[in-house]
Amino acid sequence: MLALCWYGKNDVRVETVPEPTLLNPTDVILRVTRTAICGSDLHLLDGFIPAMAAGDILGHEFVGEVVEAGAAVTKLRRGDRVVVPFAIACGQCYYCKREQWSLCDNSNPRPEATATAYGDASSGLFGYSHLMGGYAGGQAQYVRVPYADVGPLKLPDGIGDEQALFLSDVFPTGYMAAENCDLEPGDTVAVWGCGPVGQFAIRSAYLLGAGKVIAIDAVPERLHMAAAGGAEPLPYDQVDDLQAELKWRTAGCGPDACIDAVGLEAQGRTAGAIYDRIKTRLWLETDRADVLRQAMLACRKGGTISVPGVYGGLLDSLPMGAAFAKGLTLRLGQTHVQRYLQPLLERIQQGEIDPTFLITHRLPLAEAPRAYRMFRDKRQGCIKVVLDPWAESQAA
Amino acid sequence: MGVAGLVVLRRSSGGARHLILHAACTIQAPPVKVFAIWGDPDQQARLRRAAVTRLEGEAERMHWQRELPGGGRIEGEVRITHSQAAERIEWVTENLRLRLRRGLPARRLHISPRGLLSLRSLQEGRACEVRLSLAVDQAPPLPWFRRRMQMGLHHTLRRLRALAETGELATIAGQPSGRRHGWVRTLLPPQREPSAEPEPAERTG
Repeated sequence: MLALCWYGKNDVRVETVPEPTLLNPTDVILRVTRTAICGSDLHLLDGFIPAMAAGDILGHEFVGEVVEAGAAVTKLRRGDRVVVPFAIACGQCYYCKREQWSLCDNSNPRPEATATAYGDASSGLFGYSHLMGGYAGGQAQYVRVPYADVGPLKLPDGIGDEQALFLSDVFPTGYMAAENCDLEPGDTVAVWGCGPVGQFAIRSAYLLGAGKVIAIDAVPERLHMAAAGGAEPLPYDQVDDLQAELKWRTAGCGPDACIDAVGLEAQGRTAGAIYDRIKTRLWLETDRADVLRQAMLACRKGGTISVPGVYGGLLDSLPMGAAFAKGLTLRLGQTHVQRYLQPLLERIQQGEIDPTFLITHRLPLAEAPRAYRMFRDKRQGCIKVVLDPWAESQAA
Repeated sequence: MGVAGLVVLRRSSGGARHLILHAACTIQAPPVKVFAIWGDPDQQARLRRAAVTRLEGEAERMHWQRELPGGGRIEGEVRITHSQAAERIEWVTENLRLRLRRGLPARRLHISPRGLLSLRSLQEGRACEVRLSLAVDQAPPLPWFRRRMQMGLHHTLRRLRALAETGELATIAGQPSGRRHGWVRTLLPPQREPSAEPEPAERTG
């Protein structure tokens, strides 16, 4: 089968690899019908995430059709169309029973290194390094899905693959980011980063009652898309003082909640951004935390910082004094996708949101290496690429 | 302990040549089930990643052997010395033999590690606290070996928790990848794409 494999920093290729097989009785094999490139996949391309091995298959956003089910699978049958959460969960451990699916105790087959680095290991993830279990990802024609009775959601007729695809990650991630803000009706939310997660965070904030959402980015087409979702665009490269601008737009208070949908690869021209670039190059810190600093300073007293953007290591010079003095609440973590699958599917069915608004490019899987670079470099108005694993095969 | 899966490792030495290792975790399964898994040779094989067989006619003795890198092998016999259903089980490992490499004779190791697994019921019997201890009368000379033994205890409890909670061990062994080996990979030309590449043709939305 064809699969997108990682071979090193800036080196991903579509290769022919063996098809997956059932390894445990609770596995299913999916024929992937659509898959997408996530912003967090770019951290792999850019070499920010350790413990990748040459040849690893990437991809954690995918939908597909069951072609084979293990003996212990009871809820899925051959032919079922499903969307699969990016975090793998066993459904039986302490955390799964509390719906903290992405903290699953049992789904990471290699938790030792993560437990050593972080104090404990979280769940396994598809296609996201051997720290997260080393599972082969879904940017391929077939993928093995473990604990298939727990994660995948069967798709009803009338819901297309592309409508369901973003339930695997970015829609629930944006939604959980907004939910973590504990919004009161009419609250103002500032969202840093208008990539896919930011776009869903903006729309989710309105679904949850926000009165105003301020979208902060420097890429015009992302700000346009944010504005189409009802947000007030704030092109941060065109303002001298972001903090003053946010105070101005919030009547001197600051946003009630701030969402960092950027994470560890924050870019910018601020002193903090330059400081981060130097320190990461000198290996004195691993993550560029400029957005998190800005959010901590901007947020109103008693407000909430919600962090769906991925951080992987060590951050420097965070204004913890400001966070303490202002009594901020910090909420973060991988998304518990399984918790949101059914409710968000119902919102799609009821027409409250059509997730396909996000798609800017549709390409065959064979074009994935170029698509990665186009997405990373924000060329051609690229915000979200959907890949068809079978397009080239059908053409051939 | 209150937090499932939090494995606490602690080590204390009772003298220069004596070593006691401890590990603990909470398992979301009844103590009876965990106890049964521990006493089942088939499940012991999965826990220890070793071949385990019950010795014929001796319900309290099991033989285990584990292959080591380079053709080496370590093997021994586990004799259960005390057992209290769903509460505790104690054992001693005897006749330990180590073969460092294929072709070399196996050497008898003059140590007899003693183990203890104790279970405490939690949440009205739906979960249990598990504590695993291992006492070795001759501590390995190098700290590296001691750390490996600690990790071994930790891994054993993690696998016990997975088997008790889900009935299986998560694995990626045998999954596909684009990995190639040795000279095949080195002969391949680098395929990094140039930065000044043509733009993709198709754009929608």
